[in-house]
Amino acid sequence: MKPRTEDGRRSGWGFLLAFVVFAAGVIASGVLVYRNHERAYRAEVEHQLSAIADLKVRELARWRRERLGNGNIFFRNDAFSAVVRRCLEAPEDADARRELHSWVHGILQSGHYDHARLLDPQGATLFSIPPDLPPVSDAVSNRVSEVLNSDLVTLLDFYRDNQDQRPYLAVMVPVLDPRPGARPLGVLVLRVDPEKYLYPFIKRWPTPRLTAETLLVRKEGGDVVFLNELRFQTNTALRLRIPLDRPLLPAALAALGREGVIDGMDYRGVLVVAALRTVSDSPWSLVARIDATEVYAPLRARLWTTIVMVALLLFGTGAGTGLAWHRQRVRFYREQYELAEAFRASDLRYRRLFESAKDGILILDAETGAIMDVNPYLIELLGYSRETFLGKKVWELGFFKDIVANEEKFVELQSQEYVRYEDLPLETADGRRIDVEFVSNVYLVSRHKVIQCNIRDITDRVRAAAALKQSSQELQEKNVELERFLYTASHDLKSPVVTIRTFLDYLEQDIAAAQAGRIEKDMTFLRAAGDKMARLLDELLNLSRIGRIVSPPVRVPLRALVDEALAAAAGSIAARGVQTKVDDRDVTLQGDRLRLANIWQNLVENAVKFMGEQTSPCIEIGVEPRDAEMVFFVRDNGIGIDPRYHAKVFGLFEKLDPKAAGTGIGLAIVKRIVELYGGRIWLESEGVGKGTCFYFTLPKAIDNPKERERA
Amino acid sequence: MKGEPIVILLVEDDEAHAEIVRRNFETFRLANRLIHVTDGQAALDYLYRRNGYADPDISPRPGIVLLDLRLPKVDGLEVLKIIKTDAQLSPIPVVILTTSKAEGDMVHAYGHHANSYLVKPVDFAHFTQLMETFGYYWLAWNQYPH
Repeated sequence: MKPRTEDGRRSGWGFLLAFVVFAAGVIASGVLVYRNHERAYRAEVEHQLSAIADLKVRELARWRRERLGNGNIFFRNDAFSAVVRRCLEAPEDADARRELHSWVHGILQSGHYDHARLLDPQGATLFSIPPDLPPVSDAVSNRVSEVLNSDLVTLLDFYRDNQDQRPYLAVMVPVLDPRPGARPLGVLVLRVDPEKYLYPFIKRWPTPRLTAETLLVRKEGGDVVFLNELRFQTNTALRLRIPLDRPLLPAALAALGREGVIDGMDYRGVLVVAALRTVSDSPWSLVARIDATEVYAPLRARLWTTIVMVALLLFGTGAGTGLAWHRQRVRFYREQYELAEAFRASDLRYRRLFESAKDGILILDAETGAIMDVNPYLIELLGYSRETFLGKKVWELGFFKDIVANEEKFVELQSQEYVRYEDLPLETADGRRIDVEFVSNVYLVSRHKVIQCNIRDITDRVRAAAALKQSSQELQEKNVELERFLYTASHDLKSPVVTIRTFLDYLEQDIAAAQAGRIEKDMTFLRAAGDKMARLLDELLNLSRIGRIVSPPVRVPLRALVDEALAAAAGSIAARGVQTKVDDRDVTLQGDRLRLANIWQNLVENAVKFMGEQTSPCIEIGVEPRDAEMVFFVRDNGIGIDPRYHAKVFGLFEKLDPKAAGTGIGLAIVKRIVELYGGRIWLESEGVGKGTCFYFTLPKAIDNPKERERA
Repeated sequence: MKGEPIVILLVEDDEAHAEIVRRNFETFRLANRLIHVTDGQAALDYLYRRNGYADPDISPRPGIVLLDLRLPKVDGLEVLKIIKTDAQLSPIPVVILTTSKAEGDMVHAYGHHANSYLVKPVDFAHFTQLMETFGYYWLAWNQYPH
């Protein structure tokens, strides 16, 4: 079970680790993808900004060349100079004026200029289209002499007009008199209104953008001057000036001649991405810029999308992993539970087995010999309390002395692993002795050695075996007796037959020889043999009847039986003058009355018969308790019996004195009857002339009131 | 057949049977050599010269014993056993004369070195013939050491 728990814990950490690794992977790829995308997007934005800036710069340069080109039409143009001279010389010459007007008017039609005027070297307006213009702006008139001296077409950069305060540019063309030594005629000024083309062009953005803007700037001293109107601030053209040293200002960097794409902070203090360019052959620099927020807005959206997706993925994976882990835990705990349940069921089964076993079971600690458990059957069997057993060393239990007497015996159990004792005595708490079979087994229970002892009560078995043995022995004895009976019967019956047949022949011979004395003697033998045979047959029949024909048992006082016996032998008792003493102790017997009476009758007759030469013959009849049993006796003071013949007297047809009357069957009959009532018979006699006492017991005939009640 | 005639010790409890044996011996004029005792104990007493058999003149050593098996007090087989285990007595031939034809009796008797085993015939002629043959064999033909 332990490794399983570790497995469970490890799998939990495994799940967590797998999830962390996976999450890290997902986040890393999310970041990587986002970074790639950001880089690509940034590159695209820069490319776009650069393209726009380049386009505008090219267009602006082209535009400037065009304007200068317009001026060059009139520069060193003799025809135009001639027309101008004619107009100066003859101001009222309408043709000349018309001709001059047509020259200039065509240029004005191009759409970039709002008016044209011709200034004299002092800056006074000589001629203008349209006519009647307000005086020329100072910015223009101040440059006249410079232009004339330079002898070049000049593009006058943004300036603010004195009259309307709006920004303008101007193309100034010196008009010279081709004639040698002649003074310059004046300067043709073509005023450019940036609102007409330049500003809209600058403002134009090829894609719809919320914060995209193009700035045109120039450096003026330590400042950068903004030349166009801004998207987020009004009235800026030529008015907004910012020091060049302001950091990260794209306009300032551009004015300083820096080119390329930068991240900066524009005039509003907002982070922007800007492409910087200078316009060739001009003081101008161009800034094309977009607010960083707009540039990165899609990126931010993309970032959020990525984060959400990563989060969703992580959540999904986490949930999946968690679910898998949970299911794994559930399965694990279910298995644990089932295991525990199975273990519990098995444990219960074995406990029931232990508790309900009809064998005594003792569980010992194999190392110490201490009793760990004892089952109820053993407690009941031996009658000692559970506490008597538990914790004790097995050899400390006194009643185990025949099984495990001491520690050495225990070591024997321990080392033998299996011990079996077939039949050992055990004493129970109430002193009963029972026979047990003892089996001990050593085995391991979770790395701990225990000895299980099974103690089986085999008292009944042992008793039955003993009873069987006894009855078989009795049967064998009976068999021997029967054989002996047959043998003696045949032998003893044969004897008179031999006598009769032989003496009949003698009788015949003696009659023929007429020997009267011999005839008398022959007849005596014949008669005696006949009598003996008749008596033998009678008594054999009598003997065979004992135990075979049984009258219903009756209760009869001992006194009555003894009286009957004495009455039957009254003749010989009186003849021999025998004195009788009876002490019946009021004992009552139960059984076949005739048979029981037969015992005393035979013994009394026997006693009278062997009184011998006793002058004061006496027979005592009585009963006495001896060792918890009633012992009956018939005692005489007759001839006694030699101790050598004590066993022989009870044999069938055994006679100690061949001359004595009787067949030698009387005591055999007595023995038979006594045995029938579960008793035994023996005699005590110190020898010849010392008298004889027959003792016998009749357990089954004892009329026990308690026994009767129980029955 | 010189010197003292052989004395025959008859151990027989049945008076009638003893009478039959005596009458047969009378016929062969051997009756004066027959000594009769009625039980095993008396036989042993005679052989060991005890209890009234002490006088060798009245109770001479028998030359042969005719022994019944069923005897009062000491059984015939017991008597046989004692005779045959006694160095002094064992040379005396012991002839069993009994009514028993039981195999067990014969086996026991010969087992205890009985010299012969005779069963009493139930009719007169055979009994007489047996006694006559016995007389010739054991008393006339059989040789004894001195």
